[in-house]
Amino acid sequence: MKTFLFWLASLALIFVQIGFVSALRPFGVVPNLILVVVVVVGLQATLSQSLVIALIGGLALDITSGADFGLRTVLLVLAALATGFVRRSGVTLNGPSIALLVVAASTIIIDLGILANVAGSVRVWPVAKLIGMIGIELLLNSLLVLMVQPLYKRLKRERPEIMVAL
Amino acid sequence: MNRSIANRRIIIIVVIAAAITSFGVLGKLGPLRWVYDNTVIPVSRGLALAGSSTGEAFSNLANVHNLSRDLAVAQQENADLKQRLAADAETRRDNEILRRQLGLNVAGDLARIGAEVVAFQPDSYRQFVTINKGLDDGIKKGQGVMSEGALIGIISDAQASTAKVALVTDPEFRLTAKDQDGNATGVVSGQLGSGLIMEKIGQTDVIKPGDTITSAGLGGGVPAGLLIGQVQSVNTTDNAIFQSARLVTPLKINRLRFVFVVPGA
Repeated sequence: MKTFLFWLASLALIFVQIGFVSALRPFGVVPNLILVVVVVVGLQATLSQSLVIALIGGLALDITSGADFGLRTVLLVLAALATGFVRRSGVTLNGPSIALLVVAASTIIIDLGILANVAGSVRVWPVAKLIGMIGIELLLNSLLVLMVQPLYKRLKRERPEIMVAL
Repeated sequence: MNRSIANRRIIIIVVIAAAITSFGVLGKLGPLRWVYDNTVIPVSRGLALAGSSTGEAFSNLANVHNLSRDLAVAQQENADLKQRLAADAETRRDNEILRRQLGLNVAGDLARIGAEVVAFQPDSYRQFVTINKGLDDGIKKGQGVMSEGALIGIISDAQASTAKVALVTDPEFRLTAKDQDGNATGVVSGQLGSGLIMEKIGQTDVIKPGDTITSAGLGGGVPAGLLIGQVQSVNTTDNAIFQSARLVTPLKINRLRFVFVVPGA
């Protein structure tokens, strides 16, 4: 039942990102809920579950996006793998600090990836505005971590042999 | 589950991700796109409406102290536009009479295909929306898309039942445009951070703040005369080959709901 709820919640959050969050654009910025889910699941559950969400979520984002097909899938899969390596390194996972750190680093890398892809067409770089947008996205993604992490803690599978797979 | 099984599973998922991404880059995502159009889009449609309505409500709440000033500006603009509309109606009538006398075709209203925005670009830097009309409805790549009387973008990709619109504020957007009040022509391009700029304006061309910029209709599928925006400021340097102008567009991405695709000239 918990496994079913886990996948249902993950799928629902992907839909929320594609439909609701992209349209809401708080302060003109789109927070990355799928990245948050990928990192939180990578830390709370298993790397393979995190990778599946990164794959499905990344593809949904890439098909919804009008440009740069594949970029989001690749970056989310890399974020999932990075989370797996963080977990393998044996850091303490109880507080939200690790998730916040990984999400912040991944947010900056994903944003820079998208900006690098469009660099050839940009004549003027509004540096201050871009720094502001990345800052707001970091803040919003951090808030999402604090909201999503407790949800996945509750949905955490109880069987230890599956939980400690990685 | 031991670590080797977990590693094998991870490798399989990464290989699947690489394969799907490669197929997508080659434009061979047929079945996946069909699944997306028939599962994600219907759900996304309702959520996008809820998202844009919520965003608009918050935006209105934040701007409530400006409402009386905005109302006064809007009333002034409305009066100016009514006067201009009356003058334009007279000019149009004269134009039709002269065209008939010269044996030329009389320009009619543009055909339009109504569509609803069902998904927004999922990041902050690129500017695209997805609409619920596609190839089956006569929509093709390169056609202009309008909302609230202004050109808001161009169809960048069309599938059977959906299409992507590259908005005028996308950094890769380019369209030849002209100054309706002066004689300047140039290229309108989107800027990072939702700005809009008109470049490659000749040094001798006349352009000034407040001028109306419309599509030039040169090449592509966008007819001439579609409103793009107004000139906010002009950048002229004596030793430069071209002038450039910063434009203001009426486009508000998270307020987009219904749009009209203009099938072409």
